[in-house]
Formats: sequence, C-alpha cells, structure tokens
Amino acid sequence: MLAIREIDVDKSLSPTEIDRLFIEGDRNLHRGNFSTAINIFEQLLEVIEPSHNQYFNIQRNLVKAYQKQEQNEKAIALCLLMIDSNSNIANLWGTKFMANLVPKIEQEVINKPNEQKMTSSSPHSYTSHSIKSKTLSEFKQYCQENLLDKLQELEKKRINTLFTIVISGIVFAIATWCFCQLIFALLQINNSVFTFYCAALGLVIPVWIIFCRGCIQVYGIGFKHNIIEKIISFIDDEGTLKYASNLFLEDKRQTILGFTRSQIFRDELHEPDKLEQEDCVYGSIGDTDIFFAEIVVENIKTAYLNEFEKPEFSGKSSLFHGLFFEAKFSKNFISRTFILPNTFKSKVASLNNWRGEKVNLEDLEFKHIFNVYSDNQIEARYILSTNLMSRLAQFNQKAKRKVYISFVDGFVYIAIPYRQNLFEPQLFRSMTSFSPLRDYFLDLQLMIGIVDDLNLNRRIWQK
Amino acid sequence: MYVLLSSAVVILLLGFTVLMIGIQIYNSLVAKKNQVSKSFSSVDVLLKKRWDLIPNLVAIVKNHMEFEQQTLAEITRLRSRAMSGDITPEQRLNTENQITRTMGNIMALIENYPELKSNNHVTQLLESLNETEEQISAARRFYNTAVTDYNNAIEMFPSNIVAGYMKYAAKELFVTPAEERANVNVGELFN
Repeated sequence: MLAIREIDVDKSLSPTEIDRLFIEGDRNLHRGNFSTAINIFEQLLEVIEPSHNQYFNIQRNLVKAYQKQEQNEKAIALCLLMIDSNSNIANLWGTKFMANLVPKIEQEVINKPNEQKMTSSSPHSYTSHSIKSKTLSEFKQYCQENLLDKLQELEKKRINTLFTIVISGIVFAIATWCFCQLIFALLQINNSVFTFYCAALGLVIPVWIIFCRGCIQVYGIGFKHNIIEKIISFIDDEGTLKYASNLFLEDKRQTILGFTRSQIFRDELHEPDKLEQEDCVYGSIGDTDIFFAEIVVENIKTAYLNEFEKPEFSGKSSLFHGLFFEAKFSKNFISRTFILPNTFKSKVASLNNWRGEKVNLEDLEFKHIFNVYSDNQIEARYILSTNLMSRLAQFNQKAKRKVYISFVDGFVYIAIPYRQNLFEPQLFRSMTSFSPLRDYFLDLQLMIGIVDDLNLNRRIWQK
Repeated sequence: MYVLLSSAVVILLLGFTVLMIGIQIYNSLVAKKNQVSKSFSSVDVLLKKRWDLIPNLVAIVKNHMEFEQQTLAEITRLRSRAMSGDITPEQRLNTENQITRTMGNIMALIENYPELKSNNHVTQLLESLNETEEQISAARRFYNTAVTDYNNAIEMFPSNIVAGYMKYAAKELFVTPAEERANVNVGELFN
C-alpha cells in the first residue's frame, strides 16, 4: 500500500508497476474476481502503449475476463481489435479465440428459444454448477402463489386436530369421572371418589396420549410431500436434488457408515447403537454429490447379562440430534481434520485425543470460533486454506448454531445439532402464518447452500 | 539442628523444583526446535516433488507453445539452479519463489492452447502441480507457525535464559516476495 501512495498519478507507470498490476489482474482473473480483473486490465490498456511487451498479455486476459463475466460483446470487440492490430501474436490469438467464442455464442442464441419452450417434463436436460440462493421475500411470494391452498387446507386440519384433541380430553375426563361415580355407587363405597378418580386418570391418560398421537400423525399425512418437498424444489429450481421423508434400510446403513466415518462425536471403532433418519435430501450440485438428513443417534447402555446371557438394555443416551451433511471434498487428502466449536465442552472432549493434535491456525476470527484438531498438520492447512477459514467463519455466523465439521478421507461431514424435531407440521402455531415456513426454508437453504458457501464445486483444475 | 535440617530440606526442594522447571523448559525448547526442522523438511520434500514434475511439464508443452520457449528455458534453468547443492538457503528460497511465479505463468499460458487443455496428460500434470503448489503453501504455513512458536519461546522469560545457554538463535520465517505481496489499489492509481 505504501508503494501505491508513492506513485504520482499524473505520470505514466514504471515497467515494474505495470508488471505488478498485471500480476494482480492475472491473479484476480484466476481467482474468479472477474470484475476486479476487468477493472485492472482496462485501466492498464489505457495507460500503456501498444508497443509495450505486456500489451498483448493484457488484451488476452481482458478478453478472457469479459468472456467469464459474460460480456461477450466486449470480448468480441476486443478480439476484433487484436485481429486488426499489427502484432502477429495478437492476430493469431485473436483469430483462435474468436473461433472458440463465436460458435459458443451462436449456440447460446440457438438454445435460448428452445430453453423457453422446455416443459417441466425435462428438468434434468441441462447441468447447473450452483444453486442460486433465494431471498425470504422471493420465498414469501412463492408461498403465496403455490402453497397457499395446501396451507389453508393444512390449517383446517390443524384446527380440527386441536379440536379433536381437546374434546377427546374432556370426553375422557368426564367418562372417567362418570365411571368412577358408577363404580362407587354400585359398590356402595363411602370414601372420597376423588382419590380413585386420580388413580383412574393415571390409567386413562396414556390411552388418551396414544389417541392424540394418532390424530397428530393423521394431521401430518401429506405434509412432507405437499410442503417440504415443494420448498426444496423452490430452492433447487434446477431439479438436481431429490427428497425422501424416509429412506430404505440400505440407505440408512450408508448414513450409519457416514456418521461413523465422520468421527465427529465418536471414534470410528464404534458404530452408533441406534440411528434414525428422516427428511433426506440427496443429489448433485454442480460437480458435488451431497447428502443430508435429520438424524437422531443414540447410545444404548447395556448394564448386565440376563439368565440367557443376553445383554439387558438399561437405558439410552442421545449422542446427536440434528442435521448431518456429507459431501466429497474438492481436494484429495488421507488424514483426519476436525473442526469443533470453541467451547469448554469440546475442549474437554478433545482431551480424549483420538482427534489428533491441536492445529494452530493464523486466522484470528476463525480461531475465536473453532478449535481444530488433526493427525496431519500440513494436510489440515492444505484443507483449511485462508479462503476456506473465512468461509467457515461466515457459515457459522449464518447458521447461528454450533457447527461441527470433519474432513476424513477426502469427504467433508458437517453436523449441526438441533433440540427440536425439524420439518414437522406445527400444532400450536398457525400454518397460514409465515414463521414456521420461514424456519423450514432457512434450515433447508442453509444445508443446500453449503456447497456454495464452502465452495465445494471448486476443482483445482477443471477441464 | 532442627532448623538447619529444615532449611536444608527447603533448599533441596527449591533446587529440585528449579531443576525440574529447567528440564521442562529444555525439553520444550528441543521439541520446538525439532518441530521447526520437521516442518522445514516437509517443505523440502514437497519442493523436491515439484522438481520431479517440471521436466514432464516441459516435455509435454514444448512442442505446442511456440511463443513461450523462453519461459520453458527459464523454468528448466531455475530447476537446475535449485537442485544444485552449491547455493545458500537464501538463494534457494529465492529460486523456489521464482519457480512458483514462472509455473504460474506457464499454467496461465496453457489456457491459450485448446489442444493442450484437452490433453489428458497435461490436465493430470497440471492437477498434480496445482495440488503440489497448494501443499507447498500449506507446508510453509506450518513452518511459519513452528518458527513463531520457537521464536516466542526463545525470546520469552524464563525460557530465554535456557535458550541463551543452549545458544539457540531466532529463525527466519518464509516471507512472500514483495512483488507478490503488494496489494494494488487500482482506483487510487489511475484516478
């Protein structure tokens, strides 16, 4: 920065400064900051003479930046200038590039009307590289246009369910009271009926709870298909993701293996005793295959062997409840790296050192939020580039929750704990109000957006 | 007699404590120094891995890149220089930095040759090179962390006393060359 202040802006730039600016522009171009690269190269072209030895390189990079930024008209105009110039290299390159550029543009023009004609029956006919993040106002509009009928229907069912539950409760209570009175009258007992009534309620209430559960299940039928699946198809407007409220046993086995491999909460030698999953989303975003689901993982404690020498289960403890995400990472590695929230609990947990040694990283904000453990210091830094560290810090802010991440054998696993059951119909909140829908949308968009947030589609070299 | 015995025990305990602290500091300094050596050897291994990839790259692209023969000659020269044992560590570091820059240029130039970009060997080679570059960068960061820990230990009290006896000196960090580090504000430059 000091060097910049020393430059007299009225004078032409020195060769070193031109080289430095060129490197800066080139770097921005390769990092994907096309607008900055365009800015640098455009300014450079204004300042330097066509005879300068970097003139061709600057023109070439500017054409590429225009093309990447989809400013094809500017790219063609500059290519034509290069073809008309006196430099043989520029002529040759310009001609070559135009040959590549123009058919591509013609193809796009030809394809556009076809794309508009495309019907919903062919959603997979083109590939996407990312899913554009949607705003809450866009989602609200989508709900009003597409989900309102279903939501009103659901709201009616909700009120009916609530009504049934309340009425059945009153009926159960009165019937039990009458039954107690009848028993007392028949048996001519003179004691207070109230004690007997309380005891009878103890028997009746579980029956009533089972009845209520049945009512709630009936209320929830069709909710996932009509609402949650629609929200996913709104976020993933290119139809590359699939949703299943429940998956078959074989897929559940995959999730168990994924959770075990992730080693976020336990080492890989111990498979969880019980894992239940629902609301599974899977598919590809760009070049990255993803899977995420709401999972509940429990450990079953065995206390003793019974007379048949079979273990008797004495209780269970929850290991994890929340969203679990799995995807292939864009870099190859063979070690394990764990990123845990910087809390006292995770520090204590890390004393049980199957996670490896602590990694001290340079990013202060990242260090403030997370603790990193790995069994390979260099691979941990290879995975956690400065760019990824800042992206993870931003993701943590966006999630507004504790985020557990592990990178194991080329895969990235993310676990976000939740206390409540996710993506379920609300019984005590109106379904026509926006707030429950907003919660579903934000949670789903958070998970689907991980690919873009962590730049998982970035490949070191793309064909 | 009793007082004398008590004083002797206290002095003995104090001496033992000081000795234990001294041993602990000594061990920690040795561990930190070894960590620096280990991290430097990791960088070295990766730099050598890159040397092995350079001849393959030059062999594949030399027939295609009509305009950049000079760059290819330059990278070959730099590689030979880095591999020759008769240069100082500073010169070696400088040469490796130059290799990094020249490799970046070659990779950028390859983009202009569709026939090269579509060649599987080139793609795989560039993939390996890019991966190695990122690994080198990670290893350098590890080295810098190890050196910072070591330098902190030999400058801080009381470990600086033990470090002084052991004649441990501060080590240099890997520093990005000035021309790569400069962050240019274009708006300010051209307005």
